[in-house]
Amino acid sequence: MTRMSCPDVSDWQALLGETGTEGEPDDLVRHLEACADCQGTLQALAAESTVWEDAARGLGDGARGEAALRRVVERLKTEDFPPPGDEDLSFLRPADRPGLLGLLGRYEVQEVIGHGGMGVVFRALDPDLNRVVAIKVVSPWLASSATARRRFVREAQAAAAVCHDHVVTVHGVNEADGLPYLVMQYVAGESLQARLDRIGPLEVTEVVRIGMQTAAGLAAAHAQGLIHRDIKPANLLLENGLARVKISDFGLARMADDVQLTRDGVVAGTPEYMAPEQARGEPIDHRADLFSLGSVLYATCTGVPPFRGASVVAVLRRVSDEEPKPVRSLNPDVPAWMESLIARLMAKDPVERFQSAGEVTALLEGYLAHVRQPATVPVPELPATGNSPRPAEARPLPGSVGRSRSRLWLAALVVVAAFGLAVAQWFAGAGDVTEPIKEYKDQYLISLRGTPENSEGFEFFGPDVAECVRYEPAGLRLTFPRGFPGPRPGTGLTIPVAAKGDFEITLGFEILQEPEPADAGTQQTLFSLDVVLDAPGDTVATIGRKVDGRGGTQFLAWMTVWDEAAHKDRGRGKGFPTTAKSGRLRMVRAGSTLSYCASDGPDGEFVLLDKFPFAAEDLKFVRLLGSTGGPQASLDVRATDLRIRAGSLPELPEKSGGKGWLAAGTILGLLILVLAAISLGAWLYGRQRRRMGQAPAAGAGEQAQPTAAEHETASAAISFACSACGKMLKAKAELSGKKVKCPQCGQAVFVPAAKAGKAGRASS
Amino acid sequence: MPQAPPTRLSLLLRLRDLQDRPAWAQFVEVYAPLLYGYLRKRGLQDADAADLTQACLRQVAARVGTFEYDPRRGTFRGWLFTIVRNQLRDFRDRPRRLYQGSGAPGLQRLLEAQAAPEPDEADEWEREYRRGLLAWAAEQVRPQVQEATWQAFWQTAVEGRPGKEVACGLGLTAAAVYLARGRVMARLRALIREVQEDE
Repeated sequence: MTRMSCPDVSDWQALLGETGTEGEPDDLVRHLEACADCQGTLQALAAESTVWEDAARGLGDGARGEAALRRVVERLKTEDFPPPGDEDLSFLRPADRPGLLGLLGRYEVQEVIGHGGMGVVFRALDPDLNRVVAIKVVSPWLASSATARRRFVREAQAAAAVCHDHVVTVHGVNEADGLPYLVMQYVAGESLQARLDRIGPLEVTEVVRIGMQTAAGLAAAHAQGLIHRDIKPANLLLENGLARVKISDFGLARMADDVQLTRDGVVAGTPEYMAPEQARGEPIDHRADLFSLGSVLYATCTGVPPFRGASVVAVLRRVSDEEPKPVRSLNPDVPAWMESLIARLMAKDPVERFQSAGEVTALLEGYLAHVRQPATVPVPELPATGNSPRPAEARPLPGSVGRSRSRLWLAALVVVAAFGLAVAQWFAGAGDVTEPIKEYKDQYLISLRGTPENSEGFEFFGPDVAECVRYEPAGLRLTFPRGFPGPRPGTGLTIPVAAKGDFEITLGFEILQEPEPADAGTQQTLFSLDVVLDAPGDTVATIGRKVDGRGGTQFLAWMTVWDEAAHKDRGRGKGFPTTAKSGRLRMVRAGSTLSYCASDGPDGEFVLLDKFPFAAEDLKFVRLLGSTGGPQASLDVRATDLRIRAGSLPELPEKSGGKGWLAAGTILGLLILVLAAISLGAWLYGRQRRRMGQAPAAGAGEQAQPTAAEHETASAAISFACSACGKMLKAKAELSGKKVKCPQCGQAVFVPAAKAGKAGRASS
Repeated sequence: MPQAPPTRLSLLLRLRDLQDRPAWAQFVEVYAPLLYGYLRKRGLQDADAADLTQACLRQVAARVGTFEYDPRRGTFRGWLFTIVRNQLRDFRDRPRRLYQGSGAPGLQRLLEAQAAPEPDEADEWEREYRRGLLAWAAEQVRPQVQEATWQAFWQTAVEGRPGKEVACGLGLTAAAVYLARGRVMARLRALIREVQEDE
């Protein structure tokens, strides 16, 4: 028997791809047993490179399970992470008045209303037409990609090609500074997803109406040869008041016969509502949108999407291979015909679905008529599968066009009026930045004259503390005599002040030395007294006396902000020419801006010097820090007091000025109040319990309700699906609008409103 | 197992949409332990490593939308590394920098000048990064294969024992062991491709 020569790489590749241990070609296996070369080949093929093999070696030492790590992961998953984002809006031109984020082209950008896969959506005002619009801008990072720009422009064309009541109207595409942006109709109202999150599954009438309008919009798009490809509740906007559906975000739409713009094999989009053929990367047609519509109807009836999974991969697999739970098992109030409709729309094989959105629209119109008048109008029959007319033309809802246009103007008017009111309010409320923008609830006044009474947590720091920093009756004195080798790290005092949100910090100080004259042509910092904020991105606000080259002296105040991203300081000094030897320095943080001001003397007016964007989290410490510019310089200053105001400050060990016994008394008083509140609450709760006869929380569920209770409330129990886990729950009508605890998943969920004549009951 | 489905959603692409909660949840699930493991290897204690992990992830969230992460100019792995290094450096140097007043400009800037990574620093990152991804993938794949298959993989690829010895211990042929090892590895790599774009 001759020794078999080594098989082809492709043979090993194929072998690797199979799961079973049965049916492997014997000869390959035998060869593998003996041939070290092929063993190596197999190994290399699998790992694809030695780096992965090396990495695999380290799999044994895992640090995955530690408690601290688990806490972080949990926190990140439940908290507001990622945060909605300080996005880079620098592509907007600065606005000429407050209240606007900026200008884009001729539009006045007001606020961010959402994020799409490729960019940001703003609400803006078109000043020429005095009309509020929505503007979608390509993310700047994408704008450099030609592919992304093409895709964006295609979206614009796609959306603009469809003119229909139930599709968001596109007004135009423009470009500003190289960034393309899409101007479209502003739809005031929440998305279907938001509504489902808010109140859970909807009434059948609503479901039918929403389905019908969506189908009508889809029909219009399909008639133009467009497939939306991303139909999901978040893309269905419900226009306020009119409760009219508008399909938005044609971002992924493409012409049916177009070339792929995404990279091979990569599809962006939400898997939960995707059609199976789409999830598998196969070519799709307009019927994929119909599947998604079915998924949306499913979610609207039950409160949950039909396919869920722990990961994207898992969801895709389910979409492709599994059937969802029957609608009625999650919500028994859904009529059988709705369940059948949804099942039909969600057939895995597109051939089994409806063949046109027009068909679906007509059907849903029939259902709507039936639901409105169940007695007189019969339930329409589902047509048999397989009779597939070509995609129907879009049919606008009869009579809706004229009516809707006037309503649209009304809505726009309302929006503009509301906007005008908001602007007026802003003007009334806005003040000089030297005044606090908000009413601060809390303030500390930390007097540094003499040893502060309550200096718990205050810490001196720095190499020269003993010699250089001390409390004096007139204030905290910082002295560096000349000749210290330097520059030296600063020396000073840390004060623990944690503040949340907006704050204002004011430092009073005195300069006790004369400035040194400098050589002509130099600009030298002699010393500085800094207020340092301990927040990510250390911010340093400084006062210093500078000697400028012309031999004069200037009293400068300046601020540096640590730029995390660039990892360097962004500093700006502003001249504040004065020879006054005392003054105040102030930093104000309002929203995402940090401003600083300075004043002469303890009572002088504040002058605004400059502003920085400031996106740090809350404040943790304030440090007073003195340092010099070099061995020739000296420092002799006094900080007299520090005032900190903020919306919310945690307790210092004792609030400034409080005497010990007073504080204790207050605490005792508070304790008593709290106890009283608790007992009152408990008593009330007990009363309620007795009245209700059963706990309002976890009593809902599928365990047998006591029949007595059932009779009592026979016509007033609300059935609904837990919005977190999908379990069917029943709750008493009195609980409508309140939260109850789901016995299955433990989440608190809202009990939706009960309505008389709920379909399903109407027929019983 | 079928090779990776032709349709894959690029997780890193989806991250740009800060509202895409499932993508972000998956990102945290994969990358938090990865970062944590690396930071621990750098000598940080449990709580510090956890805090810094959180800080790094927040940085990713803050900067994923900016110009910095440009797939044409580098890998995600590399970009993540700069974030980690910065966080580490801030953590270590924080007390010193904080106490530099603005009156001492020159030295301050010098201190903060960014040094290039030490060669072994970069290597260690590369290794830890991949190890972290593999560890996550391993958690997903292990329940999907037979225990014997898994052991065959683990004992050869991770523990480094010779194939014949492992085969004896598990009662399998050597070929079966090699195949098992190859298949598991292939699955791990396929899964990892789902959550990162490059290499």
